Amino acid sequence: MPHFAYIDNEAFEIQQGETMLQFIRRYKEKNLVPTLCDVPNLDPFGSCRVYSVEVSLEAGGPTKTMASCHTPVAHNQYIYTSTESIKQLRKNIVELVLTDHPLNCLTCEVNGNCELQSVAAQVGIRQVRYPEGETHLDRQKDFSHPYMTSDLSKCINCYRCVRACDEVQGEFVLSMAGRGFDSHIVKGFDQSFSDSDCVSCGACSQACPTSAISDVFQSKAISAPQKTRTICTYCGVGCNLEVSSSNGEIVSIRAPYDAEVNQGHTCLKGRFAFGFYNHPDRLDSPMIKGNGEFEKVSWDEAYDYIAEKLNYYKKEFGPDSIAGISSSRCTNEENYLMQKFFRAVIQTNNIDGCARVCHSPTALGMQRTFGTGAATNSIEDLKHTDCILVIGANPTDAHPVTGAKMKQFAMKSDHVTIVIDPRKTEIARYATHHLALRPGTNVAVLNMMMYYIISEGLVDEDFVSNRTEGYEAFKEQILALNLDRMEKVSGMPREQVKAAAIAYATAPNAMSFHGPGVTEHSQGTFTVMQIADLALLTGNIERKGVGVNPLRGQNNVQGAADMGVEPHQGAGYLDVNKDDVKDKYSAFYGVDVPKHIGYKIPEMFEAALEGKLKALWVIGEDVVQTDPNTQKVIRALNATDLVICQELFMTETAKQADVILPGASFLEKSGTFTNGERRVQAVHQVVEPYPGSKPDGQITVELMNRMGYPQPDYSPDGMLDEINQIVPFFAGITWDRLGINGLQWPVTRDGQDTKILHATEFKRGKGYSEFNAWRESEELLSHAEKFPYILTTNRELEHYNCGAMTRRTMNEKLLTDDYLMIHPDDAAKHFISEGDYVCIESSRGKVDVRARITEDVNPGIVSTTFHFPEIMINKITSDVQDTEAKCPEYKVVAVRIRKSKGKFKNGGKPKAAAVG
Amino acid sequence: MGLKLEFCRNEQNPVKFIICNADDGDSGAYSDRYLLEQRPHSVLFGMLIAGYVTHASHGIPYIRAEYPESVSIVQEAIDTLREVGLIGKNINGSTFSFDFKIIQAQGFYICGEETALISSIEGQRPEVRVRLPFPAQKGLFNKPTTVNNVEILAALHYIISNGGSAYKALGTERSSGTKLVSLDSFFVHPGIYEVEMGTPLSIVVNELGGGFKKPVKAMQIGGPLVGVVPVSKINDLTIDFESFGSNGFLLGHASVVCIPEPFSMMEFIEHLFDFAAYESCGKCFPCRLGTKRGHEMAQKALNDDYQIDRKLFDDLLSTLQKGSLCAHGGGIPLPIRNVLQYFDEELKTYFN
Repeated sequence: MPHFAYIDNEAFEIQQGETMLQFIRRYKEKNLVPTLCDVPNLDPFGSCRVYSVEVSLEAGGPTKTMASCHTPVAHNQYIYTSTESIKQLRKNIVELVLTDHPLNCLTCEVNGNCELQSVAAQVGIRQVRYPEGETHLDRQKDFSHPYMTSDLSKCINCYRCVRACDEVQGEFVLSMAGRGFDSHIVKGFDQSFSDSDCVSCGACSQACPTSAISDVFQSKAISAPQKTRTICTYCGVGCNLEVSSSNGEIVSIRAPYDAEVNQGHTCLKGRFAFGFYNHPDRLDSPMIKGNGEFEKVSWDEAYDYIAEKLNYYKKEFGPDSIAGISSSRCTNEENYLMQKFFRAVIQTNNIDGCARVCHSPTALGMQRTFGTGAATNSIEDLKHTDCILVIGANPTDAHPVTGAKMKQFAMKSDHVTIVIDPRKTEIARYATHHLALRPGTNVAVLNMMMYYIISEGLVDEDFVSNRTEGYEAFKEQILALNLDRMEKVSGMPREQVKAAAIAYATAPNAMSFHGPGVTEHSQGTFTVMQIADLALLTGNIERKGVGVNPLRGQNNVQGAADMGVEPHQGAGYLDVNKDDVKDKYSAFYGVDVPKHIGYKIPEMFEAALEGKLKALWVIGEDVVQTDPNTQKVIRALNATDLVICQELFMTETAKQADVILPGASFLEKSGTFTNGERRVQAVHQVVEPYPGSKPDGQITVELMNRMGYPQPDYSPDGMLDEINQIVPFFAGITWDRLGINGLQWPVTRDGQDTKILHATEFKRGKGYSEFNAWRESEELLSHAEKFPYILTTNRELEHYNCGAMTRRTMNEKLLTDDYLMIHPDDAAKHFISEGDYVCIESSRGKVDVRARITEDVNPGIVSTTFHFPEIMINKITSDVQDTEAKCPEYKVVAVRIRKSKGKFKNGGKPKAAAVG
Repeated sequence: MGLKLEFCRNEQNPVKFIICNADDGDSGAYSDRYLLEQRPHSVLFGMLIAGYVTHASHGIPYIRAEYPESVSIVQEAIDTLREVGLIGKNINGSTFSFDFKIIQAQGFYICGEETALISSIEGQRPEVRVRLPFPAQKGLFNKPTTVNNVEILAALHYIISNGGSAYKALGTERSSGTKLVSLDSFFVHPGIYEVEMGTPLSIVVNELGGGFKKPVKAMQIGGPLVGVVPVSKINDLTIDFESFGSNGFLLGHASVVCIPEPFSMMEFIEHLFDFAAYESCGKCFPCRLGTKRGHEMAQKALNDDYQIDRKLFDDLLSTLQKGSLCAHGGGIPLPIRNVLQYFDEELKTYFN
């Protein structure tokens, strides 16, 4: 039976558990009941009292003043929102607030967009009647931080910032100190923003109703008239952003509360690190290298040069002498065009993308087990799960918004969090079980987990018998596992692994998340299959709060593969080597497409070194800085006649190119990105492309036309209308249907999207379990004797990938260089002190990196990042690859270490050239 | 109390807490101290029974640190109970386990408010929390928790021994049992007296207390946030909730603090606001700002050539009363209104 309550004597249906304020706001305008402490993404708190209402049990009966923001509405209540006495109460409260608030609205940055100002106007404050008393107007401003600012003289003590820091980001930097009238916001141990542990997510600034906490972009000012909704270009979370711009310039970015992905939150990259877009380093003209120097040329000259050469190579050496690397930073439409260019114009399958070096084993492994290489569930399911298993992922740094949600999950006492990672990542600090295994032994530990799930009788027999195949053989092999050996190689005591296995298997709903710590290994694909097997064995599939959920690294790495940026599968994951597929693509593109599988990225480099590759077109991917074994990559590029690099900046790869094409950033074009939960979201152009640059899709179209293939100009709606005819799971995706929150594929023709994959059956029919035994990495077998330490690689919150973008923002001030994490015992052994340069040497070369001594890595393990070209850690990483997907093994590098000598001895800044 | 225990009992959770609120911070109130030091076993028994009926196994006597004797005496009593096997794991071979841990309150008045008290035990800033959820659902460390005062817990032994109806037979219709009344040193016989609910105030003042040593014009009865009773009302009141309520006062814990004849009522108002502002947790706007501004106005009226705008003052009191999150800010207007009502002649020069 529906329940009703009355708003100003008018009956409305109530929802179970909602507060009076939520109830009122569902039916009436937002400011009918004003508030100063309530925010959509924070729990009710009860500090401002401005939201008070009068409540009676009968129409016009005796009333009681109640707090609408935290009192649940009840059946048959009569709520009076605007009686004279309530209006008076609100006015009196706001008058009190104004006794301790500067009255200089006209010069305040949030003038016109200040919640205190609008509530004061709404309640009708004309004057402050109180005599002059003590105030806090002399509080010092804090401009210490590159992004965050504060002027706490404007603070009204609503606690929104404190709550945002606690409830949204989980950082606990902001708190209230003092009591009563002396209560005041402090950062950390009463420090400045820059000295505190603030992670610059900006949640506090966005939550603050005044300008007490703000940011250097003054994102709450109303001066920017234009607001554009778009999707972040950094990680695979896919935060929805609201970009303010004025006169063609970007002013600031905020996170909209109605975004399903990020609910009003985002991180310092999404919110603040946009300064790269008009950085003077932006490439502003096509360039052709002659005599070792780049010369600016017109677009026509560049196109003619490229077209002529490509036509020549195609004719002379065949289509397979040409290859392309597309970009996961670009839109779906651009990726589709790039693969179409290679398949339909060049007529080769030599097209690959950066997923090769991060999540290619995910796509392959999940395809083998389930049939579909994408996340089975959504991030929102964190609300519906009891247990999370995080393997080889560092979400609080690499996927900050999802990471913050996981941290909130892990901090709750009734939740189980299992982390498998050689490093004590931030999420590991909050974990119930942290298995800090030796790098390269994921397969050993996961097999041990499955051993215990089977031997303890925790297998979901119904699920296994109804929905999977291969289990009997799998079980036999798992139970024959040599536990003594697995324990020894992984360094993980079996009891610890057993406890984690039981925790995962007995949780009513368990979700797994994994990152490159799973995939960037020689057994990466096998590990992904094991993670999928865990879900199969325990029946953690087909409903909310379960599943296998890869945390995709780049904003559109999911989309690039969906669009066919893979040498073995075309748009929509259709196998190119099948006759019916070849016929389908040939008919659709109007050209005979090739049937044999093309080169994967490492194979492109091999082909180049063998003299078989004549031309390589790389878009938005710095292969020199980010692919392993830098020297080899450079040799391969130098061995290729024509290297075309389409970029925003003169990256390390661009420096090696013969032709440079200036592309456009995400702020300068429209299209779609697909996030890690298969959500296709609309990217809207905010500003015109940087002078001299063009949207990447348009460049591809123009080159297609130049080479004689008719393709209409780039437009997101037009492109989607083409894509939805060839990619089956895009069938119902059109530009107009995407709305603000996008659609999760597969989308049926009528526009119905899909939150949960494999709900009734797997793409491949039955889920398939296959046993794979652990094997030591070739890298360690060959080199461990001479290079006894294991180097693994990781990410930092402040920077993104090769840092081409983040290093051109003020994020560079927050983290100035790469550093090496080293255990205190190892540091002592080599007389290394904090901040010393450490020379790390592998069989490929050596680099010098500053030491950070920490117990977050075990003895014998060191870890660093690759964000800065000054270090170029990939000069020492190996080109050992995943046996199945050819993803490089960045995570296990045999190295030796010593304190640096020579120019690094006293901490001199190393130069990129200083490596022998 | 029964309701609170029932809510807590109905919650499904293996961990529950019973808290005894012995943060006896009200000026002039010594009843908790008396019970803790003279009748510690009654208090502990009450907690044990509360634990037994709610399936809780942790009891926390939350005692203000300014009562070191109370702490040591209660601790001794706990030790004795443990020695004789009346607390601990599987008491007397039953499935019921219960033990105590004393937490010493660090002297913030607001910690007498149960949610602030819970926050302070958790090591958090002692701020009042919103309800829902009620502590019975999510209290200490988010576990079902019952918070009761000392006097009520100490009464459980009598109720269980003699039956609820015997207890109910004491006192008035809505105020059962007895009340401990603390009389301050303005009485000829100061001290603690246990009286049956419904006992006339005049008997407490004149017979038990033996009348006043010096001239007194009013008494604040029940704590700093409750009413100020002018001596003219002594014959109209009986010690029970109904009588105090219907006359515009509150019984509170019935401690009596006398206001001597020569003491300025404006100074009394100033003092009340000073106390309220000093002890405000600062969470809600009306209390954080209102108590401060009230104090400033009273100070200014006392010290400067300044008259308080009566309309503004009334607005402030009703803002505090209706708008405050808890009974701290919500309670302070009552004694001030009593003073304004009964001593308007004395105060009129301070207001316009």
